[in-house]
Amino acid sequence: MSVWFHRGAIRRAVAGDLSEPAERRLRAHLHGCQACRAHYDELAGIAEAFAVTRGATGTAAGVARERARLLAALPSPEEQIAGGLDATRLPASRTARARRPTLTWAVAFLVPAAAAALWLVVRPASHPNPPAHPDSGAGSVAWRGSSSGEDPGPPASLLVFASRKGSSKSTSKSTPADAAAAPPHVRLVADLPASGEGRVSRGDFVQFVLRGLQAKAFVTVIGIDDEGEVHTYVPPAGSEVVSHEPSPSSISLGSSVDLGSGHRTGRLRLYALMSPSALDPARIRVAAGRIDLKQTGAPPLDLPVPQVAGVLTIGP
Amino acid sequence: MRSLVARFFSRPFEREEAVQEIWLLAHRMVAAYDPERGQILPWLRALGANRCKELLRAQGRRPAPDVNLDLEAVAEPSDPEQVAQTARARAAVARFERALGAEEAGVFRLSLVEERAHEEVARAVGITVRRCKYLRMKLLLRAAADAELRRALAEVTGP
Repeated sequence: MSVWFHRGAIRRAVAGDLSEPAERRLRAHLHGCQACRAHYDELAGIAEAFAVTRGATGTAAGVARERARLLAALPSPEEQIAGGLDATRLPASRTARARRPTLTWAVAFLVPAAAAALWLVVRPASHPNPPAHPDSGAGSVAWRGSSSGEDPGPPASLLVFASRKGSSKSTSKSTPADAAAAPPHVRLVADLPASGEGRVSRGDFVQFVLRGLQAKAFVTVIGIDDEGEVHTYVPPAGSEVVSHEPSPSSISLGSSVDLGSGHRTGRLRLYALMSPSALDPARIRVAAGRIDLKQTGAPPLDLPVPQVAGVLTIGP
Repeated sequence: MRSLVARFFSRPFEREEAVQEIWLLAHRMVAAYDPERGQILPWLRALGANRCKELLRAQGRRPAPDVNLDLEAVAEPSDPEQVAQTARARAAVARFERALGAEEAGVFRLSLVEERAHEEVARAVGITVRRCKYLRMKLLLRAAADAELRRALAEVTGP
């Protein structure tokens, strides 16, 4: 079904005829859709093979697309200066959020079909547009500005940087600008949702950075460990949640976190919630308490807000 | 970088994503490169290979057992096996081309094999750009449906 919807875009992408934003959306979809990815691989593999038979290492269209994607993903010099800790903006999305395009398409086609059927059957007293469940994904898709039904991609990327305790120029109060001054001591451990996971140790400080925020949002970052304990990283304890303006560059989210303090070894499910209004912490805790801790990965929180998730594995 | 990544990932989409990630990582890490400690090419290869391993690990996979992790090893163009595979692929492409009409064969050769621009192909074959794009896509799909051609092409690019 999904292939049927996306095959045109896939074929144009392979031919190099798809615009860069449309290709970015397509690639985000491909990360979550095996059938579409198989179709893409089949066509791209053949196009590439034709090029190989004449001695090239890749198709000219593929190389041009690769360059365009890379240039689009690279930060401008101004962003590098303003953003401090700079990192990649990847078009990938491997978590449940990546499956949103499927949901979007399903909603776009099934809801009108269901509404039409209802209208035909119970025309005099019908309500062809039943109110959506407040927690359904459709609400959040609309909030993210996808009136056309196209995949808007993840609402932002959550970058997790780590620095080893005791490494020079890194302290518990280190800021992105400090870290940028000492790049060898700071490492990018996760780019969520693209990387899906990352590894840190209890001997690390971690710092969260939001990149490519698409709409103004109040940002909350929490972690849920294997015992179900909820850690709230953003806003820090005693602070109010603040809103951030949409920006393609990096937004530093508070000071760094000492993983040696109050954290267990094991998996830490990390969530960045980007809500149009400030979320009630109690509501977040209730949603956090509902997730299945036996499930691998970071299942989406039952909250009707855009969210980015991934797993940090904390080693000793 | 593409040939290095191809050792770890056989599918085009994964390869493209990995190459992109490696270049972005290299851009980010370039400040850590010290020219006095070595040349940039081995540094890039090590960076790329490590990133590929990380990506495989993130997917719960390992490099295939036959992956050559010798970073200095680069496939020689005169490798007899590779030469034979390319010859088989070329023969399959020629057979596919012979079965096409004149217009399609022109678009196939110029657009799909030689990868010339649509406008150039359209001028050479005497058709509109729109038809050129249509024929290119049609031929790509026809090639995908040709099992013998796919088998031969898979030998030179992987499954």
